[in-house]
Amino acid sequence: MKKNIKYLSRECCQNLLSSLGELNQIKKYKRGFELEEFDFIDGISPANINSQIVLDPSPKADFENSKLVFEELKNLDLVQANDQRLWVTLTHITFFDYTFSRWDENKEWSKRKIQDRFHFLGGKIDTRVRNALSRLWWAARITYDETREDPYELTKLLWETQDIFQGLLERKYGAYPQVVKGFLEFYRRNKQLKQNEIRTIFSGLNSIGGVKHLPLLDSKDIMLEIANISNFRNIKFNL
Amino acid sequence: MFSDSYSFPHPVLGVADDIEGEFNFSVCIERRGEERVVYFKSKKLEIKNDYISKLVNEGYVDFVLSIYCGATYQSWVSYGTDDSFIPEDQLASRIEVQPLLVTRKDIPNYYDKSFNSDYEQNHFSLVKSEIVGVSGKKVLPIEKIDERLGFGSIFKWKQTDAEKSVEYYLESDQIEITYPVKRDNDDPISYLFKIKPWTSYSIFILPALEEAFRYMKDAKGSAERFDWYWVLSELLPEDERTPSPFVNAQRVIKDFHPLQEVYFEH
Repeated sequence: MKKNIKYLSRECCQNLLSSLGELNQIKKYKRGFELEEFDFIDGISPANINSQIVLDPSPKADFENSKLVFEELKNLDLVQANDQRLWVTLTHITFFDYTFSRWDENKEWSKRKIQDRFHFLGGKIDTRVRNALSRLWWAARITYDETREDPYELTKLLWETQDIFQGLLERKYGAYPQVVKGFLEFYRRNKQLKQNEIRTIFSGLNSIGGVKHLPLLDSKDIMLEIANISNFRNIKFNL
Repeated sequence: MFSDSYSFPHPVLGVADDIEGEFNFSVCIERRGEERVVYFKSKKLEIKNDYISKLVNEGYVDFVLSIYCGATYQSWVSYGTDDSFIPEDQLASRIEVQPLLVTRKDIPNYYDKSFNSDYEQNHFSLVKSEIVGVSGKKVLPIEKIDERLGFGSIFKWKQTDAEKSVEYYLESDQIEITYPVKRDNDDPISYLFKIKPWTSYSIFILPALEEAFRYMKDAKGSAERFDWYWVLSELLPEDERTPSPFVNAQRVIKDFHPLQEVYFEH
């Protein structure tokens, strides 16, 4: 049964962020918050979610979690998906345990890490790919393709290595669907590519993007460009 | 308007002194609240180099306005100087606007005497989509209004003449609410929702929801065609509704009419 997500108020989001510098505030993230510590908006939000959903905090589950979160919140429009209140509510309340466990890898929590994983600040791409829940949703949103037999085929490829996730989503490429599709299709045919080779390809694409306006190319052109880069850098590939 | 610099493997108009002359561009960017679009109009292009102008006139090179919104991972490209627009619901935070001159066809022999002598009279071979002119980049903020009681995506707002009534139109994916305004630049909706959200909700949203629930009851098969139907169905499933559309409209947000909230706003 879906329930409407009651958003934290904007003031509450701001207070949570600004109080990170205070003594003992970081400790609250380790032990958890009481509901009384939050302030909610009046009215309903555009987000509804199945209250039974549980996310697996293992990094290997990122793809499955991405599908789950996107399926639940598929109807969000792009403006709603930019609402700080949504993502801060999800990380602090709905999926607090997941957020904490997923990013507790070295048991150390700094102010910066809490800002990145629990909060959602500003209009930069970094914000979208660092918030623990927003990154799951956006990864699926950018790669979801209803025309494919498996609409999450490209999503799965995106999550296969951190280099691909970062290379596509932490750069402008994420806004160019033909670049995303072209790169992932190339990767699908070339899963043998090593980490340094993937990085070399992204570096090459970056250089080409300074000279050619990549949004004007289609995905097949992008694949050809990647093939040219690979040839130039002696990277073996199949096309 | 713009200024920027890049490093290219061939001469580019607008980059340092690569090529004699200039590439200037200006555009009027207008937010049209009632249509919820950002409009790019009155695009003016000035190319002060005969060779590049000739390439444009002959169709080898074209003007491109490239727009990028990092917050929504969206990008747009428009060719030429005709007016263009982007729906506001695709934008958040800010956009980057960049005018460019790009090749539309291969140019196997790209060379002119106006190129900087540093290029030693070399001829260049360009392919499609290569950049030959830049005029920098401009960043524009896109501010949003907090629609906490406006249900975000299921409502669309439209202005009408001062003497007309508030009306609702349900035959589309968004419930269209038409409201009267006295002056062209007035935007009472944003102001009202900000200062008296519950009153505004009672005036505009509750009646619209009542109409929507009436439609869902009387013509479910027809209502199912629209996005708003599915949003309201999620918020108040069929088995939780009463026979009264007005009561259902109240139940979407609370179990009662927000009379107390309205009272305390005044």
